[in-house]
Amino acid sequence: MIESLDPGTLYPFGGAALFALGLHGLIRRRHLILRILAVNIMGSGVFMVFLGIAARGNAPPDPVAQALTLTGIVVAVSATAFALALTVHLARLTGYAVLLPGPLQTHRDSHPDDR
Amino acid sequence: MNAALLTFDFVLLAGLLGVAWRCLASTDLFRAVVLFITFGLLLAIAWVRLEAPDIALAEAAIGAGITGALLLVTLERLKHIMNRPRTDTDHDPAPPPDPVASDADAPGAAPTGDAASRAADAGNAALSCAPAPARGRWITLVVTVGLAGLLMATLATQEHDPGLQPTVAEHMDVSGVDHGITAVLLNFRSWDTLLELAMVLLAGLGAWSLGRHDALPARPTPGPVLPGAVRLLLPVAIVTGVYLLWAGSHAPGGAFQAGAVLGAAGILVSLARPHELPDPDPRLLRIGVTAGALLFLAIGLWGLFAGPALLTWPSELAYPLILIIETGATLSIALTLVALFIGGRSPREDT
Repeated sequence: MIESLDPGTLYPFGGAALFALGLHGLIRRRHLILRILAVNIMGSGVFMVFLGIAARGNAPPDPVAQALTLTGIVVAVSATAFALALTVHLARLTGYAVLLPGPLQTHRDSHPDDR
Repeated sequence: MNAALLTFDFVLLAGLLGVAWRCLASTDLFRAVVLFITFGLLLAIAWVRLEAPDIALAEAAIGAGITGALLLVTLERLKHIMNRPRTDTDHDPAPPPDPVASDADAPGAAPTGDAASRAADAGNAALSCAPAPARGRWITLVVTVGLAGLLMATLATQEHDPGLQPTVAEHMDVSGVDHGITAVLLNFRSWDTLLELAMVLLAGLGAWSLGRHDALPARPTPGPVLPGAVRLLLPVAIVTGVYLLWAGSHAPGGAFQAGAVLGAAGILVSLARPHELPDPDPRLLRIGVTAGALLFLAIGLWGLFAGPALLTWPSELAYPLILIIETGATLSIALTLVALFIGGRSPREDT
């Protein structure tokens, strides 16, 4: 049993746990920054499953899975940056960094630069 | 399997899960962000354990470094916005119900208190948030634990599959480079990389479309330390970035890691730059941000007409073409990351 516990077997389980943990945070927390962090943690769990499966066995790891993960990290940081920009914009318009039910109510003056 | 390494793996995974849990359970956003940066660095160690040094480099530079900088500057912006004196308080319509407060029947939920007490602890309140409401606690727990169990059961039944490693190894001699990941990224699956550059560009354009940027809210006061440190670090960062770009053809490294290191250098410069300096010419910035994707597309189209097919290169020309594409991609990624950190279009654009 111990012999079969190479990183390629162990880490995908960790990745699955990270994904579920991130999903839990995404559902439970309301603040958008925390939700963005939760999505990032879910993504890291997916990367861990990918890289873990790629590293299984004694052969060199699968470079296609690693290349896809590299692409995924860059896409994740781009999407995170855009989500953070949207969060700041929402806070500027409404004063809250949480999603409110109903139509967007602007109750602060819009930013002077947005006229 | 070495027992010491196995112990290390378990400790690392437990640490990752623990840090992620504390990060998402935090009621202090600053603490959550710092824990997230720690999480990224631990993750980089995990990637090294999984024989993925390229991903470890990218994770340390992009996942922990750039994302951390973006999160910290966003917190500063949020604090700035939340603490901005409200000029329209008197004739303000009733604020929409705060779901954080109204949904939370847990003790210690965010007080909706009067404006005076809000203003008093506004400095801290802007960066704190209500704990998760008690309602729905168990159903969420059951659902997510069940999901984790299902995922693990699926992974446990999965047969070992060598994947595409033998195929890539077989075709390395026509790829033009000696490093498997670079060969996959810029030759065998160049579609992915082109669309990824388009994605980076799209994020930058999206952020620009949200308006002109403010001065960075927490611009450090000009002192000798930051400019001095930048003066020392900048040449090192540039040499490291160019080395990573060049090394990508035969060793771990490549356009993304290089772009992240150069982008981090750019972020440092934008923090240390004197206020009086004018912003760089927005037209140059636009050309730089789009250069990577356009250059890639142009060379890909050239492949359609002069070479084998769209986005494929003849093997004797592959190395120089890959190097040109990677240089353009590095420049664009670095500039876009700095632009995303600064946020918004340059105020100079409309003048």
